[in-house]
Amino acid sequence: MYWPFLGVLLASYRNSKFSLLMLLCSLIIACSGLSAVLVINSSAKQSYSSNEQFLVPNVFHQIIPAGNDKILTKQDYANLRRAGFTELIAIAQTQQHVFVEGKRITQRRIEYTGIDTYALLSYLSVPKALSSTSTENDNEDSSLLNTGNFSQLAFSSTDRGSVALLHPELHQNLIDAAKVIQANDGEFKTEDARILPQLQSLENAALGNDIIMDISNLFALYPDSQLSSLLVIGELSPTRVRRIKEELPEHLSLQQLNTAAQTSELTNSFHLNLMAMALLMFVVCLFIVVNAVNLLLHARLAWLKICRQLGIGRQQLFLVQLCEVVILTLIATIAGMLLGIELAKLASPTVQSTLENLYQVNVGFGNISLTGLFIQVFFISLLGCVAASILPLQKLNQDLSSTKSSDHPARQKLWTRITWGLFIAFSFTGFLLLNFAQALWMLLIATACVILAGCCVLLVNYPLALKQINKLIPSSMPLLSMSAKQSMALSGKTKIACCAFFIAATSNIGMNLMVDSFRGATFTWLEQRLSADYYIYSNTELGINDIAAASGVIIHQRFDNYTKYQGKDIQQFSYPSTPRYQEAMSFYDLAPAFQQNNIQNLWASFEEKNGVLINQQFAFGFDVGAGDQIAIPHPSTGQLNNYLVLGIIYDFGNPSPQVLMPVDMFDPSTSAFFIYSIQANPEQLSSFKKALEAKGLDAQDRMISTSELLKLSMKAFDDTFIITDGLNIVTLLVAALSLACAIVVIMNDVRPQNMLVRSLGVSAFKTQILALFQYLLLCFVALIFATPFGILLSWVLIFEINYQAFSWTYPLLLSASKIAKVYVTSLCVVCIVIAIPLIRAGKRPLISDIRQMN
Amino acid sequence: MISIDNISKSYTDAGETRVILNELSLSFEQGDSLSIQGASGSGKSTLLHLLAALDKPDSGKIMLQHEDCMLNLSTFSEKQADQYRKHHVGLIFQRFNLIDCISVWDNVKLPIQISKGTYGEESDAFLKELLSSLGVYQHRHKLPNRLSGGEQQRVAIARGLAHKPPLLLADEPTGNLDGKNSDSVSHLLVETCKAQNTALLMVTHSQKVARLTEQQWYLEDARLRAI
Repeated sequence: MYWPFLGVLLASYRNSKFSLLMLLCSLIIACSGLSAVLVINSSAKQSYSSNEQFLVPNVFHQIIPAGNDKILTKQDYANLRRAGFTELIAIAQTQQHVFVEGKRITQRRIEYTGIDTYALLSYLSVPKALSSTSTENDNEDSSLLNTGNFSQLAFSSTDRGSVALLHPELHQNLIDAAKVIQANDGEFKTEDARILPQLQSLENAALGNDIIMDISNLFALYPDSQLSSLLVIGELSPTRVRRIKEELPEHLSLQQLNTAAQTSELTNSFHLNLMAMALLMFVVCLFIVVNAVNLLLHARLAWLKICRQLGIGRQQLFLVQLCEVVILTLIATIAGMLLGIELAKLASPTVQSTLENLYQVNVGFGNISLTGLFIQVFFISLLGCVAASILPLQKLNQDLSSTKSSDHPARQKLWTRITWGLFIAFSFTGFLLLNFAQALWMLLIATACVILAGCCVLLVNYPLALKQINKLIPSSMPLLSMSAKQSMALSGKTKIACCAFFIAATSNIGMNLMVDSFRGATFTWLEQRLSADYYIYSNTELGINDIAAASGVIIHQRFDNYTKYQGKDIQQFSYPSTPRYQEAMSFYDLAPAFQQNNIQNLWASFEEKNGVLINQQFAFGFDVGAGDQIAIPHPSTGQLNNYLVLGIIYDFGNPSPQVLMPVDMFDPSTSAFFIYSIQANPEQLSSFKKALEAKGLDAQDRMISTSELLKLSMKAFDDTFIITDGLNIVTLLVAALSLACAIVVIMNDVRPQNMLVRSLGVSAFKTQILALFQYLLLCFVALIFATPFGILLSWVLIFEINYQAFSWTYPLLLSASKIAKVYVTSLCVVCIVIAIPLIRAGKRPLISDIRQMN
Repeated sequence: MISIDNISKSYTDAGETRVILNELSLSFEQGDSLSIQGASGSGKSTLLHLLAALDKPDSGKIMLQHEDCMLNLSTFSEKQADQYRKHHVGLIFQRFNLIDCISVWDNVKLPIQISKGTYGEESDAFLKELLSSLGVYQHRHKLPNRLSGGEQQRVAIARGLAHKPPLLLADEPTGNLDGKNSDSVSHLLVETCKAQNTALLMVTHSQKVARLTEQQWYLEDARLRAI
């Protein structure tokens, strides 16, 4: 029974090539999108965890400089080892570009890491008597490198000398970049032409964007490099910890490496965001699958009816077609997976920069397990496909039966009631989650509820809205009016596709408004905050203050200090309180006492050191409001004091909680600093530059004007949101594809009507325009419904998701032009996608339709 | 009004050429009624399609008298063919004659609005009379799918004649109806055409229906013969 039917099924592909192609395309798009995000996710996750991982096994402590102004020297290292601490291994790191024939070949700086491999190997090879450790290599897998790798770094030598390890993909990128500039010698060098060690690939995802080498090689390449830390191998007993602490000079501190909880939290949020991206794309793709399966079944409806007449049962028909879906999913998974991996590679630089900006991690290259990826993609796709196919297959069962009950008014009324019921359920769930949810994933569910509630409103009100629009069309335009009425009839048949379009349009409007608001807020904030004329970034004392004083330039040094509040790391930054800087401050909220034009008192209180300013990240992270008291250490003395929170400030892009305190609370001789802000007229500036150059400092290189800084910051901002823009367009495209599938089905249904209109003397072109009008009208109405829900979505994203994920919010900016842009883009995308089936239908001669219909 | 002069038409299917119409000639004037009978696949519908400028003959001419000049349908461009169908021809098919998303009245009104661009009181009165004479005026506000097959075909006749075309081409208009309905619809069709002074060319399998027309032709071996 099954085999003859399967034979007929395969033979049917000859007549439904287009439908099959659409189904395969939609499945491949879904699988490739899913694979791409899974690959990016896994690679970023591996890189992220590698950021928190250590280069050698069993490291639980490290010795680092006690402050930003302190330096860990080679002498310190030698002294400590001489004192018997042989478990200490020196690490030096520097971020540099790679050069070939004097030309820079890297877009981003590469992290060069040097390890004292000889010390490490000698430590690993002797019995561990000194430390009460369990330094067995059972944990070696959790580290970046193993003993073999260290031996390779320490002892391997080639005709070009020693060896450095890096990820094969980074290696290949360097080779490719060298080829682009048509280098002859192909030798990788530093900026001052020192030849890098022989690069050797090592398949280890956690290597990320790093080049690992022996520490002596690193110092040979970059003699100015400093030691960044001393890793302590093995678990230390309390006695040993005490001994190390006693022996440590004042400028060094022992730090316990226990960031697991924080890492896991950040990784989860990171993972969740990417999975949300993947799921949005996948869900929209499933809408295409529903429509594509519908299209395929529609094309075979006639012979399926014959099969039923020949005695093949509904269950058999269902099972065989389900098998067909499984086979197609298998084919699509293989193709989609390969495409997805390529897509991930293509999107890699943009994704890397976005992730690095958002999460401040170095994203490298992931190890992809093809089998694992295939299993994940295949089962998710299969689950989705089977779910998406059930609806059209059930509809087919209805079509194969003689009575069509779906048109029955009572049934329609029931559906309307169910849809309103669902709307209430989604709205209520969304409301509850938005008000009481504490976790990001719950807020993402709330976002989905908002969108689904919108879908319900659309489904119930679609025909009513079309009816109202139809009333606006003058009776002198009979064809247009007829088309609008036909749209009403079509709205019932394109529900699923219109929902997909609605979801895409809503997320588009929501994301666009969010990004636009964020951009506007960031620009205004930066413009206001960047009140100085120039900035100099430097974390070493260059005598700039003295030079500035001699040139009459007003200069402010930004001091910083890192401390803890309620057990979590916070930043303490200095902030000048001169009138110019007072004006530059952008407040989110003020303490009640300073709210009514009482800002002068706020600054007076700030100068008197009675109060501090905190950023949104601090306020939201610790649930502190303006007017509350916080107990934080004094940045110079470390003494715990209570401070009034005078106000909460905007601080976009900063992942850390921050407290702004008066400049004179910081001790210039001990506090770290990294930036100087400069106010000067042109003459003063010119004299300042000359003075800088006289001291051997390149003014051009070190100084950056406010306008340049603003431009650079906004460029970084725009680059960060390229992915969002891309994703928006892809989602729209996918939704439009879904609509195109539905339209192909509909076109067969409306063929007799179009034939009739054409037989009345209406040209083929006019008929195509009318058809286009019909579909655009459907989309336009979906866009109208999507607008309020898009605005609501942007509100959720700004005030709930951003609050939870990044601890900052900003005012929602409702830009009519932005919404209009989404309208135009969406309608253009729809026009492009439906143009093919429309032109195809328009090219069919009228006579062939007449012959076929009659 | 229309004169068909030595037209031939053949189709090639699977490498085999089949002559459908062979040097066929026929002419008729406004107000005439003609029926064409023949076996399935004899070329009746093809002839109708040629007269509707939906298709072109391989050779020969189809001349249309338009005001004081004669136009050759076989040389019409697509645009000219659209104009010809808009103003000079009404078409009735066996099935799918009405647009189901608009009312009966709007269906009938549509050809007038398309051909004249306007719709006035005069047209309103004419349509009322036309629908009344066909016995479907009371259904004017209904959607087509609420009507019976016979009622739908009567509305289709009204739609075909609404813009007062000089020629009405009907392709088996009663093929889908039962005997009783077929009789009544075909009577109404012929009578209404006469009343409107519209030439009627009807393709039919039914001798009974064919006998209602003034001229009866039989298409056989690619040639027409009078009955």
